[in-house]
Parts: sequence; C-alpha cells; structure tokens
Amino acid sequence: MLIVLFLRWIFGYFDFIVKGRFPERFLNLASRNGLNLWNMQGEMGELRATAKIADKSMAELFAKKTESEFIVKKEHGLPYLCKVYRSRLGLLAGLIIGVALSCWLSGFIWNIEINTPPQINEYEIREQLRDMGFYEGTKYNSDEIENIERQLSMNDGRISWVSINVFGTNAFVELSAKIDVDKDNNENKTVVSNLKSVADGTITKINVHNGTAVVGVGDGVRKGQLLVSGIMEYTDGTNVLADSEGAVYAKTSRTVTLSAPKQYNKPMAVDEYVYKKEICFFGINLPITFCGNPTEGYYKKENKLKPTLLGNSLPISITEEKWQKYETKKLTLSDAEAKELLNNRLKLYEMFMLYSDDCTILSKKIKFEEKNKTYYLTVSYETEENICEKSYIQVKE
Amino acid sequence: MKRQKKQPSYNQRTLADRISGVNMNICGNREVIFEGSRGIVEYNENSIKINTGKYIVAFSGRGLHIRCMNEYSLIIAGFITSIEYIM
Repeated sequence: MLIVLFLRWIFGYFDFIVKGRFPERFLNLASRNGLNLWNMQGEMGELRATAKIADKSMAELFAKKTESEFIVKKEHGLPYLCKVYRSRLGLLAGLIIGVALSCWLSGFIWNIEINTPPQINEYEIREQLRDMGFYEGTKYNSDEIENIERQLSMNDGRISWVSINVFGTNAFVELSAKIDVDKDNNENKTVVSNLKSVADGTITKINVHNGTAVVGVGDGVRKGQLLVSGIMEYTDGTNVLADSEGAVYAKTSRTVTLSAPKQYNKPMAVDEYVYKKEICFFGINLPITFCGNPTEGYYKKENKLKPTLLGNSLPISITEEKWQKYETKKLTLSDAEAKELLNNRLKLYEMFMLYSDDCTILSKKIKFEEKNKTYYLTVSYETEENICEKSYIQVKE
Repeated sequence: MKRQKKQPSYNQRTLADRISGVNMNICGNREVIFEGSRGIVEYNENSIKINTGKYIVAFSGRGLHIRCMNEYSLIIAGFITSIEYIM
C-alpha cells in the first residue's frame, strides 16, 4: 500500500467535487473509460473523489458531458510542488547541488571498520592502512584496494589474508592470522630430549614416564646436571631414542631479596587540566579549541565520539583531549610502610613463582633490615620442587 | 481526446460476466465485492444502487462508499443494513 501511495505522490493527484443532478452518471462514465478514482464519497447531488493529475482533462470532459459542475479542491504530489516552486530557482539549484554533492561524496570512503583476530592489534592495522593511503576520506578505487590488500598481507608477517569489502561509503577490513605451520610439522617429527636439573639440591622422589633415570633418591645434584637420559639402552645392547618425560623432586634452598628505597619519586596528579577539541568532518580535521599541546609533565586522555545513523557511522567525529598535569613528589617511606610494601611484593612472588603443584615450601626465614637508605627483605626458603627441564637433542635422520 | 471503448479481454471478464449473472462476496456487513455491474444508478452515503441489466441491487446503510471500481466490478464498503433486489 505504501508503494501505491508513493507512486500516486510521484505522479500527482487531485481532489475534486462533481456537483449536478446525477453524479452517478459521472461514475459510470469514469468506470467505463478506465478513469481511476479513489476516496469516493457521495452526497445528495454531489460526489467527492480523487484522481491522477494526468486524468484531470478526462474528468473535466465527463463532468461536462453529465452537465455537472467540476471543482478542483486541492492538488497533491510532486508535479504540484514543481508547479508551486517553479519560480524559485534557488531551490532547484540547491536540489541539483545537493544531488551532485551526494553523488560526488559517495565516491569516498567515510568509515573503515576493521575486524581483527585477537593476536593482531586493530590500531596497528589502521596505521598501516593510513601509510598505504587508505583512510577515512580517501577516494574509492577498486584497483587500488586490491593492491592495498596484497601489500598489507606482504608487509605484516602475522597476516595470512586480507579482504577489504566496500559497501557504499563503508569499508570493512577482514583479517585472518597466520597459523604457525612449522610448529605443527614439528609434532610429526621424532623428538629426542633429556631432562636436566634447573637448581642445586638433594633428590627426594623420582617419577620417570619415558627415558632412563641417571640419578637416584638421596643423590645431590647441581644445576644443569643430567637427570633423565633420552637414550634408552636395552639388555641386548640396542639403543632407542625417546622424548624424556617425568618429574624429579629435590629438596632445594633459595634466597630472595626484595628492596625498596627509603626515599622515592612518585608522579602525582594535580587538578590542572588543558582541554582540546577537534572535529573531523569528511576527513578534514578542524580544531575547535585554539591552543597548542601542553609541554612536559602532562598526560593525555583521548575520547573519540563518532555519531551513527541507523547503525552506520557518519563521516563526522569529535575528538576530545584531556591533558592532566602530573608533578613528581619526593616521598619517604616509614618502617611500617616499607614492611607492608615488601610483604605485599613477597606475597606476589610466592603466588606466581612458588605456589604450584610442583613446588612445596617446607620452611622460610624472613629478615627485614635497612641499609644505605634502602629497606631489604631477605627470605630464605627450603622447598621441595620438581627440578626437571627439557633439553632437546637434535637428531639427523 | 475521446477514448475508444475497449472491449474486455477474456481474462478481464469475470465468471459472473460469462454466465451473465451477478456474483456478490459479502464480508459481514462491512464490505461487498460486487461483480456484474452495468452501471451505478444511485450513489450517496446512505444508499448505493447498482444496475445489473436484469434487476437493480440496492445497498442501504451508513457511510457507504465505493472503495474501488472498474467497468464490471466494484467494492462497496460501509455499514450495510440491507440489500434489496429491485425488479
């Protein structure tokens, strides 16, 4: 129904009244001669209806034939508007300029959306594309886009393929990351490895799944010493190469020293701001606030507003820059503060370095001291841990 | 400017036409699809009379109007209170 209304508006229509003794005759003539009428409302001796502007002369003729009065009440649609605004050339010029401008602007790329896999940064790709001359406001050229696709995949070793799809004035960049083929190939090759010690200690437990253990429980080992060999010897004298697997636990001791200077410099935020605004209109950056970038001691926060219309980004963006001043202040740590700080750091160290399935803390001794304007926290651990580390052997087949 | 009267094609003629009768499809009392019209005899918001050749069909009611029409058929809409055959 909407399309019918639209077409009627395009071709134009008019409301009219036929006044006479027998308006029914008008209806009969209209229906027999293919005059399309709608919104017909009949009253005594009067008929109101609507018809196409093209059928106006025919309607007038039928009214004359039926000896009725024909009154045009109102005209609607595009032909009527053209007639009304015929004398106003400025409107016509504006319309022509508007159409020409929209035709010209549709030849540019106004929005670039980049869809990247997690290992590739979108910002990096955007910058690379900018260097190649593909940015918001660039003219659309299908040949150039093919070159850019090729160039981008050649320049960046992480990318396996690139596709730039242009829909209207929007460009959608799709990327796919390279898969490490060598890594996959290595899995199929014969891998031979030994297990070596990563720390000094006394062996408490051995659990070997593959390979030959060359040390026993109670043995003392040094860092880098062979623990499990990847060459297995059979009783008949033949050798088999193996990828050693297993765990060798040993009692080890380690000392960790954490330090914090008594006096230190810390940048502190000050309530001093410099605001800058910039509008990007069809690829052209126009500053709204006229001031330069602040000198040293300021840190910038940038916020970009990009309005959208019906899910499509518009070629307008507003960038707000907030520069905040930071002042370096000299602070002094008290004994209690230093202790708390170093203890927190120690907790982090233990959490990430020691607490695991392969390491158990048997005992620890903590020593806190101040030397040469620096606080030290020295911790000596007695641990039982897996001291194995794989060491691959290159085998030529 | 005078248009020549077109003869309706076979497809344009309705079943009612071919058997030279009238076919009415009445949807409640709000709408009637009428086929086999030979002309409108009376048209106002309280009464619509249609000539079928052999008799006149008169629709009475309130706010009656013809929604759309061609040479042989039309759709009458409004609040219909009675349908009468005038011989």
